[in-house]
Amino acid sequence: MSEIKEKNIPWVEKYRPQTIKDLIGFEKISNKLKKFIDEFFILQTKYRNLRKEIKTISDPSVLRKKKLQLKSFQLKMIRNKAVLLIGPAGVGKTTIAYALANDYNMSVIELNASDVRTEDAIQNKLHETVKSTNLLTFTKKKSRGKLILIDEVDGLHGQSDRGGVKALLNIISISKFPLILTCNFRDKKLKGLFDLVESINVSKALPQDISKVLRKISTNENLKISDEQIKHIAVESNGDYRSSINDLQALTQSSLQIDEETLANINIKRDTDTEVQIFMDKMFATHRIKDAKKIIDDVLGPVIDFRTIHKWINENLLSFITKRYDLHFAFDNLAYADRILGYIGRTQDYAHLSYYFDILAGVRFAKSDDLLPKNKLIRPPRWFRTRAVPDDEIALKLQKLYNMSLNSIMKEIRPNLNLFLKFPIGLKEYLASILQEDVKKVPKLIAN
Amino acid sequence: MAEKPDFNLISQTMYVPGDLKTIPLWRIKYRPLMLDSIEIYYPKIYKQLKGYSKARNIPHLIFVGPEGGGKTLLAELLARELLQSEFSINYKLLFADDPIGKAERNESKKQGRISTRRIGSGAGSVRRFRPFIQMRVRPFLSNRKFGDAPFKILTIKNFHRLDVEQQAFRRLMEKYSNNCRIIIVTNKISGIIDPIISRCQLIMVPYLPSHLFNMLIKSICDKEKIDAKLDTLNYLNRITHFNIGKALDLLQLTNLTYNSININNLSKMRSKLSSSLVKDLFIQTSKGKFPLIRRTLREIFKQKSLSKSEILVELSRVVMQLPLERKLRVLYLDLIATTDFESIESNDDEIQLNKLLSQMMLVGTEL
Repeated sequence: MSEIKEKNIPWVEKYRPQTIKDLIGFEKISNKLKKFIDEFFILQTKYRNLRKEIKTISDPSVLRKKKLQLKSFQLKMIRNKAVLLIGPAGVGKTTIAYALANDYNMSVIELNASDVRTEDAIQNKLHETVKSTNLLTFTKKKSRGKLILIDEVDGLHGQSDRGGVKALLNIISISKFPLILTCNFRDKKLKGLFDLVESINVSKALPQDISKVLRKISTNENLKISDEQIKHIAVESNGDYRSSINDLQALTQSSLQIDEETLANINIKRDTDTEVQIFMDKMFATHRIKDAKKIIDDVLGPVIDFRTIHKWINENLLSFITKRYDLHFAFDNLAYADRILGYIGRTQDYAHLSYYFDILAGVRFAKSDDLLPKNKLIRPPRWFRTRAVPDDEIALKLQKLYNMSLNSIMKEIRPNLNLFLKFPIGLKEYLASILQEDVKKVPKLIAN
Repeated sequence: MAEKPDFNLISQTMYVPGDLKTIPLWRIKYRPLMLDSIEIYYPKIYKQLKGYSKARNIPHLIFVGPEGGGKTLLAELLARELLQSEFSINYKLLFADDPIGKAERNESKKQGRISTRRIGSGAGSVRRFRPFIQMRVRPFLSNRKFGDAPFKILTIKNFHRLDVEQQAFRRLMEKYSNNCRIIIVTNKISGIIDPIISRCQLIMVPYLPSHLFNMLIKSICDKEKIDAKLDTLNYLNRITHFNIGKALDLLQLTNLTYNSININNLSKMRSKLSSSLVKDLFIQTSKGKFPLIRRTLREIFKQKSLSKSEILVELSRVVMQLPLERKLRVLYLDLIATTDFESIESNDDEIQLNKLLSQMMLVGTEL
């Protein structure tokens, strides 16, 4: 009976590392977390000693001083109580928290996105647990209390989980135990949390590390897989441990081997450049607007979302469309789609989003010929920072002379000064004395 | 009164390095240093400012007027008159649109305070002020005045470019009003919030009337021993839009290159000075190669750090300057205006400009 059960367990759970030693490729992060937990316990013992000391004191003036000290210590404690792990999905944020708890002999209390997390719910669930000590602490000698893991903090939704962040901050301030929070990216609505809590970035896993893990599993399960196949899966998973293990399990569900065809055909994630390449090729090969819309719909995912797809098209349009008339119509459509997106962003009126896709699909039908480019490289969209900081001292010194803002000095004054410098009116010497530079260097400095 | 010139000399050397009279740029050389020397040009404002200096007291002030009309100069002269010998220490000029560097931003982050609240979203968090206020304004306002000056004076140029920081001034103006007065210089009064306008005295600095402008330029020409006729001066004030600094720069450059000043030489010089990259962009649209156009556009974005609206303004200027057919010019302007209006709601600036340029390319190559 137990064997059948074991077979059905997903490998992700079955091979989840139990201690930090088992983890591959997490040295830096685990060191940071260990330091955090150690520091937490040191601070806690200090705090307890201080409280004990206060109980013995009777002199009122000293007592007041000590109480103030205690209060400031509490504030310091709040900042060291919790840590926030930020990283993409499946890189092992939850795993490392469990492994850490195992190493320190702590019991984990987890709250994840499947639970309702309104203000009241969080209060009800955690308020008592956070304050009271564990029963196990009395039985087990080495146990050091609880570790509270709040998973997927960015999943706190506005409507259904109202007041969640506020409640979390409250819990952090009263907690007696260390907390570990995880989220996928820096979300604006969690700003209060970022200000308070130290955050650690967990980056994507390297393909070597993933293939090591996969190799370990395959030897345990007696799979007959070549190194190349493992490497293929590791690279295609794009730094995600969980999905790579899931892929491995799915591929070897029926037999212990993987044949090349299934490996090639299974639709694993590709990197974005080739994805866009295929998307553009497909889109300009269709003849019906329905198909074009469907192709746009398919390409949208976590990396290319609907907010950036038109920028990708804008960047790579020129290699697909060459005629002047076609270009005009294509850019007209693109600009219109962009305006609709801006409107949606401003008003949050997502009912208009379908028009955005319709107009974007229309870009394909601006093309009047059937010629497709051969082997054109796809480039990612580029970003320009308008209003860059003019970080040079020359402009700052000229500013004192002219009483003008840096921006207008860069635009108006400098080109004029360049012209002035051609004439021998003693300007070069004067500027050299102001800028404290060599006379010969002055024209170059102004020109920059 | 005998000591007055000495005071001025000291403040000069502290403020602008070197003796002003020897600077070869007319724009700086002929900048007045006494309030009395501008009496002829701004008679009404002079009376008001002189009244302030007699009373040795000013309210917070706002100078409003077009670009290059002398607002900052007036503020500086008033401060010189009031602060006398302590001018260079008690006066500061700030630019609201100057970007804040990384070092300054980090320094201001360090100066935040930990909140003493224990519950709620503010618990234990670090409260920070805006870097512009924290690093540039507050230290000057809160430090005490120096010597026997009545107060300090802080001048903030282009005040309308501040966004949220304007709100901070509501409190700052009241809190430090004993120690420091604030002079706001702007050319767009609608960009300033009402509570600040109500705390200040408004002073309008209009264009110099053309006869006064001509008189000013004429006096400088006389000092430099140059002949300038009346119609030349009229032409000069028309093309520089009464911007005194620009006019002086143009005048000096023309004098240096052509050794004589007339309408012909001025217009030649002016066409040299106008920006060339946007002009290139416009000319390329008539050649019909879009990859080339896009490269130039990105060059403009990168090198000149112009924004979308600034590029559109430059383009319309180029269209007005170039010798085009009348109908074509109207068509181009129509395209530019339509793009500017439509792109109010846009998301990506480059896509909007690409659209305009592809349209212009079509028009330019067809006709």
